[in-house]
Amino acid sequence: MAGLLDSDIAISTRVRLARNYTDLPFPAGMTRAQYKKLCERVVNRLGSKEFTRLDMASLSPVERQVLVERHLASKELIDRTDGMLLLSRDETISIMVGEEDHLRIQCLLPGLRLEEADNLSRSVDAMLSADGYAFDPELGYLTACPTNVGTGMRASVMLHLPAMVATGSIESLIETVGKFGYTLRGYYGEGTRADGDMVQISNQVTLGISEEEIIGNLSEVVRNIIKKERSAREALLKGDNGQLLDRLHRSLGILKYARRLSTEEMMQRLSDVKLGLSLGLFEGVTFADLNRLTTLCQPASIAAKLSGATTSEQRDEARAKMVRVALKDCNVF
Amino acid sequence: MLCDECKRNNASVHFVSIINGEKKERHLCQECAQKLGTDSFMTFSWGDVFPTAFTFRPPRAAARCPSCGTTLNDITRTGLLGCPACYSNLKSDIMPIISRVQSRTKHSGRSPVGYEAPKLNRPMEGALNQDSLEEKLRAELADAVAKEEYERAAVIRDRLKALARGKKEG
Repeated sequence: MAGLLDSDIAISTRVRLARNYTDLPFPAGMTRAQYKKLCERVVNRLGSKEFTRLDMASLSPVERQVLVERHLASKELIDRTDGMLLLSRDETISIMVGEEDHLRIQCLLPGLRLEEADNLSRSVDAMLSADGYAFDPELGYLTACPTNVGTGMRASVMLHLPAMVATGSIESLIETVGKFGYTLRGYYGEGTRADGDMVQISNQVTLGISEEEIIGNLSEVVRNIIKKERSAREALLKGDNGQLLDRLHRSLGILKYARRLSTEEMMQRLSDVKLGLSLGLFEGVTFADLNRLTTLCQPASIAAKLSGATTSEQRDEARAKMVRVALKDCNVF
Repeated sequence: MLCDECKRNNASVHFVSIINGEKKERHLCQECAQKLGTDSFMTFSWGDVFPTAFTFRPPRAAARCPSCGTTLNDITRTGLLGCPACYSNLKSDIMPIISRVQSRTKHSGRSPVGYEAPKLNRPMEGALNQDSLEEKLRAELADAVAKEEYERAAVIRDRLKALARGKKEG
């Protein structure tokens, strides 16, 4: 799996297709009866063998929030009391029913695997198309928001770019990326590393461009960013007066031994450890392990694991314990 | 840098997009990003971030889609259309928005499995009653002859003949 080669930088890949049926209004204007009809239609087409049906009404608020943390459902969907999510057994494909569009078919894979994600979402798309998609030969797939019309496809890659954030070269990256109709979005700025130097890049334009072009161009842009991040990392290490090395080692120490960790601190420290790992300073843990850990240690996922009412101190202690266990064998190279 | 929305907190969530050389930026604090529903990687929707793209000129704002009742005002407010038919029913208002946010206006991607493109030489004659169709075709024929487009005229003439034949046969 060549795509996984760059998994220290490319965290995950997502391809999302927005689809609607001709015979129903868009979800915002649907009656309960129409929504029910939509749900039944989707369930009948997919069958229950490969997909698990999750009704928001039967999940606790914490369980619903876990779906958001895992990027399987949006906040908008979990807030709908009659909302429904269909989830493939391996959790790589999720179908949000009645979110902004009738269907949001999404494929989420670790690493940089755009073509695979496209193929997987396409196969589910074909299964659901039999009931008559709203499609116009001029405008393509018709969606509730004109920003999705055409292919209805949004392809994105989540990238870990600590060096580009640190050196400020992310600013010029935004300019370059934007010229190709791609959008960069992320948390960064002075003193803010709340999301652990994570940046998401997605296609902006969905009309007048084919799915293959969207995927192909994004792939190329991402490969270029990865190259730039690698050289920024090398430059950062070369020009370091010891401060960076100190911070990275300090972060590993804290994660290995801390008794309480907030989500923010964990995100920042894990970003450092991942950087150290990719620079060859640390060993004994994989990027996939660390990425999984990040998801499992988000607030709702921790709360769901502890079950019952918990204080933030209890959650921080549980988080610290999970991190300690995960980093047990991670050491200085 | 201060948050564009509340103008109070420091902005830490940044959105940048450049379409056709036109750069758009939004800088939000975490709180406002959350309020606008753009805080999680998943729900990031362009319309939420750049809502000004959806404004219409006032005189048309009360226009309504006959299929679902959605007005252009509603669309400005929510950034969303009401039903798939809004695209054709409010076409003259929606198309400028589409070209603004997409920069292109013609789909060039996949079609649904089994989708058949409408045949251009065979308009949906059932939609018009026969007399008004005949009238329309006669006007088109006159137009084609006036413009000396004889090939087009011949096609229209044949369709008129076919219509007349169909009428006779009942």
